[in-house]
Amino acid sequence: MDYVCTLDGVTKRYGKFTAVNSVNLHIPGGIIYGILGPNGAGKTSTLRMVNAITAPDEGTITILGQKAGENSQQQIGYLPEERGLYKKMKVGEQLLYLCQLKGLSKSKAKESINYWLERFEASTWIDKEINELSKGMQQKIQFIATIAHDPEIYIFDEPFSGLDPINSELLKEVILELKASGKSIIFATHRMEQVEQMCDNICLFNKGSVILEGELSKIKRSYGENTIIINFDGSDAFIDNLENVRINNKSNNFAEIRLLEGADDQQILRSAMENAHITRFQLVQPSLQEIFISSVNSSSTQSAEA
Amino acid sequence: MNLSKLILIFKREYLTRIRTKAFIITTLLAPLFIFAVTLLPILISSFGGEDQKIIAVSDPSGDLFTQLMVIDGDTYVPRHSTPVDTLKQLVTENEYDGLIIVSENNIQEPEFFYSSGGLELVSDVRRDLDRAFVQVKLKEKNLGDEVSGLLQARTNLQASRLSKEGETEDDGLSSFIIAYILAFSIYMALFIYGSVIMRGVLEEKTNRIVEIVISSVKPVELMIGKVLGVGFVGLTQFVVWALIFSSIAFFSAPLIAFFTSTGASSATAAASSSVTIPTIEFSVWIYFILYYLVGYLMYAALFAAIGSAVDSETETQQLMSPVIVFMIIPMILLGKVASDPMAPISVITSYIPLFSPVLMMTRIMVADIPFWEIALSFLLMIATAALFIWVGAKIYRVGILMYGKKASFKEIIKWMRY
Repeated sequence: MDYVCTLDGVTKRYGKFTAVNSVNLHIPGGIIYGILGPNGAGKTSTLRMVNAITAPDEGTITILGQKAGENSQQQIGYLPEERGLYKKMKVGEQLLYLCQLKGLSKSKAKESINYWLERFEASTWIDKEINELSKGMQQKIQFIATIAHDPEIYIFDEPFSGLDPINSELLKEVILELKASGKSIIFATHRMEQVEQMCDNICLFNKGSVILEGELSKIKRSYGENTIIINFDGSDAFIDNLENVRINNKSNNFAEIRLLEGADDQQILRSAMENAHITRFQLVQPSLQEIFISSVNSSSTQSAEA
Repeated sequence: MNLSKLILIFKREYLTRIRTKAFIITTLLAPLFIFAVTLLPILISSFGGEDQKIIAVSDPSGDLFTQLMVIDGDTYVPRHSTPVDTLKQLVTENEYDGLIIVSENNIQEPEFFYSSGGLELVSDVRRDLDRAFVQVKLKEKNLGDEVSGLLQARTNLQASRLSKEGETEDDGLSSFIIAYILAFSIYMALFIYGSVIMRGVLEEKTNRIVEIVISSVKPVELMIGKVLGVGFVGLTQFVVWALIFSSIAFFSAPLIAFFTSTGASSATAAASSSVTIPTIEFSVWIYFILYYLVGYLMYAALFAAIGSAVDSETETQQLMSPVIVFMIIPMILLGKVASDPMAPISVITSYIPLFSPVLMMTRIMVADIPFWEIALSFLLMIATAALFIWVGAKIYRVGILMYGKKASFKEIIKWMRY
């Protein structure tokens, strides 16, 4: 398989703090790749190195066959977590400036900017200053700034944070469209439902290391159908008496129960029927949220023991 | 270093700034303002003439008064027989501007009363009384006109400044004033454009655009492009000002002559038309621009680093204070250096790179400085600028990506090792 981005033993330290600890990643082309992890796990530090904003202390990063650097930057469209635009600059001038910085010629940049402004129904804003636009409009211009130079790789760091629902949908649409046209997308987020809906592959960061990597469907399958989803009417007291389980999620008439070693799903069903009226009982694969939490917890205990 | 990207950044910084209303207005209006401030008083005084003061003199013996009449017959009027209380009453009613009472027995201790008129009035009266008193004493001793003539004799000093280029007639005062103006301009420019850089960096950081830009260019390229762009905004302003001032200088002398000759006597017209705005040698302009540019590079690197290290303008205070101290010290030394440009302290401090733009510039203006001294100061400044840009870039590349972390000096020193 062709990898668009490879990290080989990449380490980044800030003083005594190791933000990224000998990470190896192989990101295949043409897919949506999710980078997950709690705050401070090293996601943004890693993305900054992939974007050649900072350099790794150890290890190498290869983008489309060449070492990450000035040339690879032109092949990447980066939407950082901390993002914004020049408030007092006109939309058109601003986009042109950012595109030219990515190495596009003036005429090519203008052509592409006009295409995307039209695509986002924003052509009439071209002579407006950013601070004249509403927040939602600014977000659209921000996407265009990320994608207008038509790179091969798109990197979105928490792309949906702060977006209104309409722009959220729009961005999702654009991301899927880019994927369909053969581009590679990397995105970092905490929002599990977005990852579950969109990502083909994921990796999970914790404390600077990758603790889980692979195809999302394979990862989920490897956990097996070890989770019970149950809907019921009546008292939920029985749930607290179950043995060898962990309750992931519980609300009025609903529970998500993780089976641990020694748990018997049929026994749980029986005790549920004795105590409440069951409207749904299903064995499913764990949610990504569940995989995320249990992986992070177990890796944290391991590192604490070590 | 990617030159085409550097040029893009430079162009954006330069063009967005010189297109702002604030820039256009300050560039065009500042010279008019200075023109008005310096020339209006000359015009007003030539139109208005001085207000004639009337001072009552009560001098029963009359000796002192006689001499006062000789000195200024229009101002001093005799009121020897009017009661003192009435005269005082008239002074408070502003009938007289002042009242001199000379005691009959001791003319050396006259008294002066006034209600308005201020310090200048008192010093004028004191000067006239002193002169009158000396004349009275001379008469008493019968020393005659010869001595009194000798007492009023003055030397006629003709001061000329010698330099390698030759001899120029120069009383020191005009080059002194120009030195002050140029030194102050450099100081203001370093301060103003340094702050512009700092705010520009801070703005990119608070706008959160900086990470987008540096995913296309190196942080050091962004910093240098910014510094140069803003530096040339300053240069543009100086060039426009120099053009405006030289055209004012060209037209103003005939202008003043024209205005004054219409209102006043021909004597004052002749005097005012000799008011020339001193010409500044071309080499001085070159030095001025070079000292501004290199000085600006040193300070701009520091200001850029400060702007990158903080999250808001209010946080800049603590980090700026040492820089401001370095900017103010030369202004404190300026008087000493301008009046005694070859004193050891003047020579030594003018070599300190952070002080050179102000102090060496001043020495060049008031004294004939050997070229090697100027060259040495430039070498030191360029080395310092390079060092500051290197250090500033190290701080900058970390600082711009650091949010919500209070930057202490200790923290910033740590960043330099990242």
